[in-house]
Amino acid sequence: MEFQVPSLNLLIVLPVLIVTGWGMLLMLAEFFIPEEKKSWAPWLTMLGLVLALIQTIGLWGYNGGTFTPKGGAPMVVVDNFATFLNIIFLLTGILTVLISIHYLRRTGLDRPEYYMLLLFSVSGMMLMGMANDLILVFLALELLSIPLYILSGFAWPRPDSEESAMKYFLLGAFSSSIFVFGIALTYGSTGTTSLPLVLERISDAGMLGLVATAMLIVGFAFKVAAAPFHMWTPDVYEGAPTTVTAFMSVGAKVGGFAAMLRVFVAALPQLGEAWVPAVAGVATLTLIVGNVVAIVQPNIKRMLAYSSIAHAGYIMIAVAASVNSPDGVSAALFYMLAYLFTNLGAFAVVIALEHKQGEGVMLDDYKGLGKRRPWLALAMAYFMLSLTGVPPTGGFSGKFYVFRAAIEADLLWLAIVGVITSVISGYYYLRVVYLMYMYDGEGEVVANRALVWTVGLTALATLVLGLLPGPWFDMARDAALQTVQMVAGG
Amino acid sequence: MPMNAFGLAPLLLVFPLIGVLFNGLVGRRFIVANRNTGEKWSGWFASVMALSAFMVSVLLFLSLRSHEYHAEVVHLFDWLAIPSAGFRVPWAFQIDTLSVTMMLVVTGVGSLIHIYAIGYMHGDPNFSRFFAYLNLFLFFMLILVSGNNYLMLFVGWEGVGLCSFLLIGFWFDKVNEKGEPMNANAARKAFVANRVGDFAMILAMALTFWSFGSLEFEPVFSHALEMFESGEMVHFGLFSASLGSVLTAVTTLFLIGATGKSAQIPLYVWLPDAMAGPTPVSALIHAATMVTSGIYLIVRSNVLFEIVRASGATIFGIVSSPDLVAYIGAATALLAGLIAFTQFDIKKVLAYSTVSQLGFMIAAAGMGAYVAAMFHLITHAFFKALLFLGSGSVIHGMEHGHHHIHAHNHGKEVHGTPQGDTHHEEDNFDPQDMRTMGGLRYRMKTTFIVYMIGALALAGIVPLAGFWSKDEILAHGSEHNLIVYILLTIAAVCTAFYMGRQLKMVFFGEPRHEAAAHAEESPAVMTVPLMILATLAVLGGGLNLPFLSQGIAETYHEHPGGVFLGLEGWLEHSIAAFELTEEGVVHLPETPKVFSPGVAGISTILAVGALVLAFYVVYANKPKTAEEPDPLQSTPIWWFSVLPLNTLYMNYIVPGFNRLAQWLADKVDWAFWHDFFHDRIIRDTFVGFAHFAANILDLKGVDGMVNGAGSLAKRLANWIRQTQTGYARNYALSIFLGTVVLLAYFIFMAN
Repeated sequence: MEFQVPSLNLLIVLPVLIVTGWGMLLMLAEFFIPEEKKSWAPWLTMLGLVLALIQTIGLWGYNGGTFTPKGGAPMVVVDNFATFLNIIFLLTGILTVLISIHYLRRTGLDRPEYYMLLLFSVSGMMLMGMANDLILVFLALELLSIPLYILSGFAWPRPDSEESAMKYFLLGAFSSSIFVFGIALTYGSTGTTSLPLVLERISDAGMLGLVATAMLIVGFAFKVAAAPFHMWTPDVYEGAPTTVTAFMSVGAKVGGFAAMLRVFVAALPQLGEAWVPAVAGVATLTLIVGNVVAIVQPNIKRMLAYSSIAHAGYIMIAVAASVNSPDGVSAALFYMLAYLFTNLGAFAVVIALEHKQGEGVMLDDYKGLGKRRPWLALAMAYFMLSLTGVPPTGGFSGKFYVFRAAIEADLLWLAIVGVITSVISGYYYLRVVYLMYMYDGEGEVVANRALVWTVGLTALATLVLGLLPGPWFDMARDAALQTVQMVAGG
Repeated sequence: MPMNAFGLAPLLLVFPLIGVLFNGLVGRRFIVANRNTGEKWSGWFASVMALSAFMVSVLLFLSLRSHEYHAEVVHLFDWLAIPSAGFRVPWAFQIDTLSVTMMLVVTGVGSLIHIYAIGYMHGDPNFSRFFAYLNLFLFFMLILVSGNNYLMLFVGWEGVGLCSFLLIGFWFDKVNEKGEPMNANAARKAFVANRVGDFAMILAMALTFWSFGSLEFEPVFSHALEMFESGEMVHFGLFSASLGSVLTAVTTLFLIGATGKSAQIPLYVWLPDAMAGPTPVSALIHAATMVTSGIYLIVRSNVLFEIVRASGATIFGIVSSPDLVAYIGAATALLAGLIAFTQFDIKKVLAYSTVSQLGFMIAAAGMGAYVAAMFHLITHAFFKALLFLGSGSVIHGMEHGHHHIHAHNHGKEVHGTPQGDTHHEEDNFDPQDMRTMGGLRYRMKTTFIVYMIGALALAGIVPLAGFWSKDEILAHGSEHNLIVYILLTIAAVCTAFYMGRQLKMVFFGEPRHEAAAHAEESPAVMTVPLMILATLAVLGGGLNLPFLSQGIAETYHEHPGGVFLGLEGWLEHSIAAFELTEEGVVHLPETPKVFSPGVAGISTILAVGALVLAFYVVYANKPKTAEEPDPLQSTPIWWFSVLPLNTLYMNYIVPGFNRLAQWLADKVDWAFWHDFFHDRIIRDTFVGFAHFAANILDLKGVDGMVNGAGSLAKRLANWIRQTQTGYARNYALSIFLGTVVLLAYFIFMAN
């Protein structure tokens, strides 16, 4: 067997390289920066992320791949689909840094590793969207997850933080093993792990291919917190430091969906007849469990955990619709963009209220916020409306596109489930609004400038996506078309 | 290729929006930091934004000229699009002569009023909020006139309604003697009355979209025209209707929308109450711009109205919708003109006068005299803004006089206290009551002169602006619709009479109150805009002078150019019905192009007569004191000895007329429209429905269902929550079971 050096075009993976390299540089620099200048770490991190973001935006419209083995397909592709998602990931990273700075200081968690782990996790997410080979998907998944395991336990020696890290790690490892099994079976049935080749051969794979598909679904469903693979979510979200929860609830979820969309839409569309009902079933269960159980949560982090489960359900609807509707993938992409701003905005408000680690996170702490901090309360109310899906918010536009794609894909019943569960979700989202405005209360609020900026920017972005969804959806559509073309080209 | 500035159109909206943001976000801080410089910043920033929008309008005007008046659509982006339903509404600007005319009026008069308001609102605790609202109003008004589709027009329509509501209730904490929040109530009344019209607008838009598949002006009009020429029917699913009857419905609904916004019968009731707002608002929104949007709507939709006219379709066989528009306008003009006789509040006289003049414009538009309607709209914007601002100056002066006495009595000067239209003192002094004025011509010279010009322009005295525009409407009426002509002529007589009465009561005679004796002239920031408006009120008629003789008209045909019919030559490029007439598709009633001495002579004689009657006969030296009743209300003894004609007049005409006016004011206006129609029918229906919706439908029905569903969901949630044990092994089991189920399903699928 001859060893072949794969052809390389490192320029197009530069954003990932910047993020990873930046993390390593920070790790080295750690030794040389004096103690009193450690507060630079977040801003340095931000600089790296912004550089990568600029580089990524520059790649919009580029369509190509690299790490191409002889006679094979590239392992890493850069197309608008990947670029769109990378923008989401980098924005997630930037906003997370913004909400972390003050929070880490006041909770005594301000250790520089935090930001390095964040960078490594972001690089994993970015690779999820670019991976064109199941092996790379798996590597990216682990690169994304392992820093998150550590970050969940970052509030040691607080027991619930350690417990959350342990649970996340154990269950993550368990589901990863099923996922690897799925990859192995795919290789067994098609003789390849490269997605374009899988596409060519999967229809002849028979039963083995279907079993592999089932196991891949399990792996992704775990990562995006879809029922019944969601049970870790509330415990981990509650135990992890709130900034990590915010990061996970967006980044890890979108990362999971990034790879899931690429694998299922680009490589397995021929098995759609089999997996679409399965994904639709998982979506239904997820929507019901997430939205219903959220109602009885007294802790806002747990409530948002169930809420994030529910939103995984809505994106799952788009995934299920993406085989038979041209707008399924773009609906999912748009939904995730809107979800990024809304959810991080809501978490920023949660962080403002969490004046001490683990305190101020109960729903009752939101009583009277409308009087104490009218702007913050207004923003929170707006985020809650967006999460419910009331116009004019990004959340509404997202749901609108998702349900429309579902109807186009002959999944009317799934859209109806989505609408009904959205109505149910109003029950717990609007309760936050109700508590903020209808009661009096005295809770401490810590809102520093970076946090206020984050809340303002995310609210503005949510508003823009709600009022003028058209141009952004067109962008998402460009991003989605690209994927399909890649498939057609082989 | 001539230069053009069409691309600048979006700036029209950007400038006012910057003003809103500045005054809404930071204006207050400036004022808190330093009252005087802060006010200057806040007020001038808003004014400069308004002026910038005016500059953009002027650039658009020049571009249109160098572009041979061709309409231009500046497409910004697709605003709403549902491709599967063929629904597409762009956010695009319609730059044509009609919309640019409106833009120039809105931003030009608007800028002057902004500047005036800097002086008028001086010392108000919510100074910057006021300017934020004014800029917001400009923003929405410009959306209204610049949109290229009915939906954008409707966005502006609703937006200006909102601003009107906010500004009428600007001093929302004011209460009357009974402790009722009268300003807030007035704002609410305006809002509710406008909702009725807006509902009609929504129906009209739905019908338009259904029939023509678009909401953009150009496609709707051309599609309607195609269908008219081919005689095609409009299909509504199972049944279909003729184009004429569909358009009758659409145009009638537009008319209802216009009666709400432009204060016509039956929805005019809100406008007199709207005078509770600050006077610059009355001038800008409730006289010069917002209330004319109903006329803009009708003129913009001229093709639809003309098709109805040409098709001969009628409402239940009684009257065609354009004729209905004309009759409603004429009736409103007369009714409001009569009611204005009985008012004592200086602003309420102007308010009823505005209703009356809007009636003139609506009547003109209904008769097909679109240019005349726009002409009157423009001149009316000049002189009515002038009159309102002048009345504001009078009120301002009266308040100063009142403060002066007050300070005098207390032995100290009062400076920098907030002023308002109804500044309440312990003695219940009302600075707007004309009975307490008198003799102001000496105390407030500038205001007097400009007010005089405005009043004469409104009364239609040669050669001021109002004469030319009113005459064009009357001349059109005399050729095409005699009933409307007669109604409007009587209304014009009323106009001259009540303006004469007002001039006399406010400026002539002796002061009837200490405040009037000590009134002071307003500052330059207020009087300079008044002078500019006065100039416009004098010269405005030059915009559309008719030919003075047949001979000039014929020469003009051979040598086009010159000063005649400027506005018509300008507007005919965007009033599509003109072209249709040339093509012979519809017959647009032609406005006489040559000056008609008969019509002008009659109206001038009547107007001068009414002025003289008011000035030298009825109010010759009346009233002498503030408490003395209006001579129209009682018959003064001395009249009998002077002239038998006067005796006749006073014994029969005055009481009869008086009773009619009083009856109209008390019974028809208040008892019927205000109390019965508005309070009983509209408000009670609204409240009743709200009650039904809140208590029956919502509490019993919806809440019952929601609570039921809620408790069910809670029970389900608690049940599912049992599985959330906290043990990792149980979670792993869940993952395992999930995997097994999925595997089972896929294996089942494989077989």
